[in-house]
Amino acid sequence: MKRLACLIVGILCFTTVAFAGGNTGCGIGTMIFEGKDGILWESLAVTTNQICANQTFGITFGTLGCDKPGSFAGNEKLTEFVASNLDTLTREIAAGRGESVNAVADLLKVAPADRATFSAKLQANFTRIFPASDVTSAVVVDRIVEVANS
Amino acid sequence: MLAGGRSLIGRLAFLLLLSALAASNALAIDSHNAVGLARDIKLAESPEWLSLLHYRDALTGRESAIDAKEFFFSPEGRTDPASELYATIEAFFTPASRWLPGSHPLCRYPARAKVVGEALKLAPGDLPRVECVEYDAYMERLDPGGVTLIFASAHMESPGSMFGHTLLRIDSGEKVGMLGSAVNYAASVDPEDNGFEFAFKGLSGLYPGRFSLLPYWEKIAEYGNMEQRDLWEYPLNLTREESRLMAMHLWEIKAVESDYFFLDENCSYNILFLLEAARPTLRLTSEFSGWVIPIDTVDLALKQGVASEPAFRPSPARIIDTLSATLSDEAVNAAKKLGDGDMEAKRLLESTLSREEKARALEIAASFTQSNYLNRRISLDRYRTRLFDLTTARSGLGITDVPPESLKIPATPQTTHHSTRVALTLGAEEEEGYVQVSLRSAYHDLTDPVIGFPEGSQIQFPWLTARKYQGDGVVRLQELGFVDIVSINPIDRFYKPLSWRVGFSLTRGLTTDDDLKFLLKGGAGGATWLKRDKVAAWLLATGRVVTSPDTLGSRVGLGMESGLVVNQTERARLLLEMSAHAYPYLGRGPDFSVAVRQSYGFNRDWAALLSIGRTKGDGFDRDELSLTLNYYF
Repeated sequence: MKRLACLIVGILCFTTVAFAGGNTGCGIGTMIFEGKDGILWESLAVTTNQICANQTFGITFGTLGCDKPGSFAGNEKLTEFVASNLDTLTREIAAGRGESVNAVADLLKVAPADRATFSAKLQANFTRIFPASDVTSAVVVDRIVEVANS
Repeated sequence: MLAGGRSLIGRLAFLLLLSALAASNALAIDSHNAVGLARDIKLAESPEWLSLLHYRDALTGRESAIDAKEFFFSPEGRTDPASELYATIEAFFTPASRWLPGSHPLCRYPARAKVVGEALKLAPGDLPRVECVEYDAYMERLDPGGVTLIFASAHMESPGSMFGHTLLRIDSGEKVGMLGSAVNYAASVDPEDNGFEFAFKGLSGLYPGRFSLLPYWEKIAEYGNMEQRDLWEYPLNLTREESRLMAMHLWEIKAVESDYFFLDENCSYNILFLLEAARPTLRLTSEFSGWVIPIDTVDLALKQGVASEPAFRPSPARIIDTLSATLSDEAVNAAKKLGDGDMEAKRLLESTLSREEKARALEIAASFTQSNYLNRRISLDRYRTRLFDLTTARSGLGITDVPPESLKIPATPQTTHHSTRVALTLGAEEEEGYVQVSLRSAYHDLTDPVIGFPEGSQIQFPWLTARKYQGDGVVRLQELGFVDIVSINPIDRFYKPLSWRVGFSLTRGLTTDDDLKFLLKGGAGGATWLKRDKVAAWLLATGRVVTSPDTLGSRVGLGMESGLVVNQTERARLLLEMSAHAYPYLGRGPDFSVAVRQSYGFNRDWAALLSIGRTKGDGFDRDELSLTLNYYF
């Protein structure tokens, strides 16, 4: 019923960031956004505008309950970014391009002129950075830093 | 000592004492002097001050849009800029010892402190020295260098999303957009509320609205990955200092709640206050009285020269779509199989497709897999295995070129027709001529120019149509519409959404007597492209309930509706509609209707529509021909 009303007034109700897995490994697929449920929802397959509730204000660095990489110190932003965007980053490192790769390059202070080479290097070292399907973001950060410095 | 001439040293000493006193008075400005100075320079009426308190001109003088009492130092602060200014100055001068660390007014209101300090030319030593640990950490983390206005456009399966949504992004230096900080104004919704409470509270301001600050990548994930909406990013020409001032003001209002009104004091309206705080010469909020539609706020920012041409961030669904269009059927089929887990990447690599095609197919499949997971169609384990398989295979293919077609940018939101429509129609029904006038508050139907909108989306509420036949002296209410939503979503290789519609109105033309009846209609079905983006067709199974307002006698019909739309050119559009409903338990005959509608959009403001139709029912058979001129504003 709420969904129908949302449709009518063109707004939608809240979603929150959630943790899919209970583990502290924080791998692929552990950062998802909850929210869409209910029979009416599924049957209408509708999405509408969003009004988010319960969002916190301050942007804090955190590792979001994930294990910290060895190279955590001095790389807080990188750690947070990788943990939050691991799925997309995996796809884009594989493709050798993408804004998330660019963001990692930026956080590692890679000069703009060197970014194409940097992306190619990450792609070439994909299996080193992502050795298995259950790799954790902490390991990914460490490996990326290793590859970047190699 | 005062006796003239007696002691030169004495006089000198006295003069020194006097000048020392005078000098120390000049240095030791206190709140009293500061208030006096502020009064002299009329600081309370300056745009710099007014913009920080969100004052608006109300009927009874100035009133702040902020409802929360805790935002103001003065009990009259909400309606009296001067009393608020003087109370703020007093608060600034209170000693640090009186406050918990970090909660001194200078820490809580840094923008006000800056404006007051600069206007009164205060020196660093004039105000109490305070440590603002949290605020300093906030500013360091944000490192504001610039601001971008973000507009989330409509998604096909969601007619309500046509209203759009705006937020701001604080960028630091030249950083990658994804790393910016999103500033979002939204309602705090009680998850326990049911649908009606939700609609009622949203419309009447019973939800509190507040700002939130979150990493922009989260917004991209929400809008892009979850809702499949494109984002338009309009760079703003705020200077570094203006951006910092905006961030400082955001700190001031971060915890403050205002009443959230879905229609006017909504997301788009409230972020305008932040822009006005950054640059007080901007006149944004004052341009709106009544409804605030998000795209209108973007148009205004463009018109006032603070925003410029947008960058486009396509949703993953759109990327899958444009990439698929560059591939052969074989490659697209492969991509679908890979995405569904029906084919392993190894098999694809062994195929005879070119390296480019393999690479693109894998990229599509990986993105589709992620979408499947986010929409809970597959489990975490299956997702991980599949994504790992696809991405590992892709990485082995090396760097490929970006297909130029995928860089094509669709029509910007600035090409859409405006939200309110008034229409003048000349028509004939069964050879009796009529003149008709119609007013619709919002927003877009299938005959309106579609440029800038997703195909197949319709949302109308409310509207009113009045008609006068040439024989009659009477102007009659022809239709009073409450809501009419249509969502035609053509299926494709990857996504197979449902198409549906729902509507409720009070209308004529449904029965022999041509009286006004309540009509509730709805249904669902499917749609397909006959020619991508040009021709679409749909078929829905529908029902309708026709109720007489006086007797409340109703009849229920079951049947179908079908349609075809052809976008002949960017401006010309042809719509064919057909419906048939039977009334099984009443012994009355079925009714049919068919219509052909040709529309032409001249620009954002004007369009014309030629319509021919026939409605046949139990006891009536009406032909209708009409020509309409639509004006949008």
